[in-house]
Amino acid sequence: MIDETASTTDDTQRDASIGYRDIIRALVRDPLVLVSVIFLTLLILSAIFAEIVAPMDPLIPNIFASRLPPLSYATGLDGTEQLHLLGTDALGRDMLSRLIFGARASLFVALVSVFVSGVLGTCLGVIAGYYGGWVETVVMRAVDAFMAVPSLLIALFVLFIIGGGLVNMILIFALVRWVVYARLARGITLSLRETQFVEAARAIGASNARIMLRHILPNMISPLLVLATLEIALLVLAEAGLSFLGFGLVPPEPSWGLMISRGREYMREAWWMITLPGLAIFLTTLSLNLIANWFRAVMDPVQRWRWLM
Amino acid sequence: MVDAKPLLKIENLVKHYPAPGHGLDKSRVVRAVDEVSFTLHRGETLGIVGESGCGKSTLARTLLRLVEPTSGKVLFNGEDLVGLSSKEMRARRCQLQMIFQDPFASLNPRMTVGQILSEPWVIFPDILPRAEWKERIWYLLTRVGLSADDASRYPHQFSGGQRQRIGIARALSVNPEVIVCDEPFSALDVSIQAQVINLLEDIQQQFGLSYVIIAHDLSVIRHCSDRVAVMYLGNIVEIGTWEQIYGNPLHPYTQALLSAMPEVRTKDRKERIILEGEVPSPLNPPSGCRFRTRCHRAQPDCAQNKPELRVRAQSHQCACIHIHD
Repeated sequence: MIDETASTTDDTQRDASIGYRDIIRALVRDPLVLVSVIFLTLLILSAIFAEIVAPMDPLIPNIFASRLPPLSYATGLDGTEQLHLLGTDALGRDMLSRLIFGARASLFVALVSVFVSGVLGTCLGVIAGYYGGWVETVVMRAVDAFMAVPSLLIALFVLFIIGGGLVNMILIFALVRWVVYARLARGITLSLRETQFVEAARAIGASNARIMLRHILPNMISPLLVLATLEIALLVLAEAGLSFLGFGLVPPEPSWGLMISRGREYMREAWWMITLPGLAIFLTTLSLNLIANWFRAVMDPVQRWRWLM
Repeated sequence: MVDAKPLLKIENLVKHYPAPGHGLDKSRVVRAVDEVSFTLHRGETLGIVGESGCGKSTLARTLLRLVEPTSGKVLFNGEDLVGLSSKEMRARRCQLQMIFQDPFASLNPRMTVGQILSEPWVIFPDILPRAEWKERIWYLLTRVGLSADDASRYPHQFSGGQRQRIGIARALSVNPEVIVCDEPFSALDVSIQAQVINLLEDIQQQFGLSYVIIAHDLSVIRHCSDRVAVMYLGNIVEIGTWEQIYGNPLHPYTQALLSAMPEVRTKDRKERIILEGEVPSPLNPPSGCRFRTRCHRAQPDCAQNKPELRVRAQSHQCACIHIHD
């Protein structure tokens, strides 16, 4: 009876329990992900503590210091010499301060909408795929209907009626974007529902809720996570687009999207006004993608050991 | 060894699937399991053999109600499981367990072995108090030939044979009375097969289990069954003790199957019966005897009369109208 046990002696480090220490070790080993984590942490912290971190007020214009390139000095409204590390915009407001305050709006809208729409869409998708029948028909026809109309167009229309602003924007994004998660979740549920381990769970008396939560959901985390990171990038841009059209945040309020739309007019003479917020969006989504990919692998028992070894 | 009163009694169990592409036409059905009846006694092993697509796996799932039967009865200790509500059924699931064919698909890749084994205790806290979980997991793992440290590992870290042992341990974790094994050996190497068969026999003696073992490998079934049922196209065509089935097969289909079994013997080898043609579609099975289209002893009247399982000798039943003994 001593058959296959020999093969397991060399992989004791593939054990199940992983502590935060293992995660930190794995992070250090992967510098690209480490940099992304640091960047995102700094970004989120500075967005939360924007009042303390930002060198200047992002809303007060200074006509005499408009369109200054990065690393230039200007006399502020209070008469002191001030360094504009990343330059100023068309109204002389400090770019760095506006980027920091803008991160707040952009990230908040994107993260919260992705969370709300992801939870909503995944739940509906799993339920539709698991139960089938009329539940599935109703959910999936709703998905088809939402898919058939460009989501930004719906958002535009609804925001036009109920008015813009942060909360409305989050609600609208959740309303139009849940469909992508629902479609993915339903598809995966359809295949997982037929697997033998789900049958085995049913054979030991697991309830439907338990099968969905413990057996189906954990096995679709990876693709959902990848989708969610892509959606964050998409929503940062959608927020930018809607704000640009005047249906999102109201202008003096800083957001990366608004900054790009304003900077667009000065693209020739002041490159930093459009490049810097664009870079912020790019770096944020890139870091999110790298982290999500890494997180997905670390969360997957089959791939984990490669990253933790 | 065998009680007079059966532990499990299956009566006229039927499972029809709606035919693909005929959603509205309810009369077109795939007759996966048609009017199957048998009994299983305490401590007994019933082997079910038949070629691919004859409804063996559907039968296994139907009698555990993992698939809802179309009609018929599954009497477990005298109680009909088919009539129970899904809640009542869940409470009885512990008594009937299943071991699955594919050890690579039957374990959730996101759960550790310990979590897999303790899941029934989470669902039914009455089975085992939480303080005893750890010890019980260790016991189960060592009982099936794994080590106690394996509890914290994930399924992908095990080989096929080890995973099948985990599947056996999971079935044992709820103290069942009947275990239905759906092709439990077919995904394993021959050497591992023998070990798993021995393991199943050991735990059967220790825990007083009854098995329904489904397989297509006749030699495996001969090795581990007390009684054998032969299925063809959704019907049981012959059922008897293994001595009867292997020593004196009555049904032409059983005879054909046995003659196809590889043997080492060189002398007095019986003539091989080679089955002609393909298995007919269960969508549209032949009239009368379903085996008549491929039977080497078919007569014209086989098309008219549907043969019933009739007792030919002590506990030996066969469904063929041309057997007279």
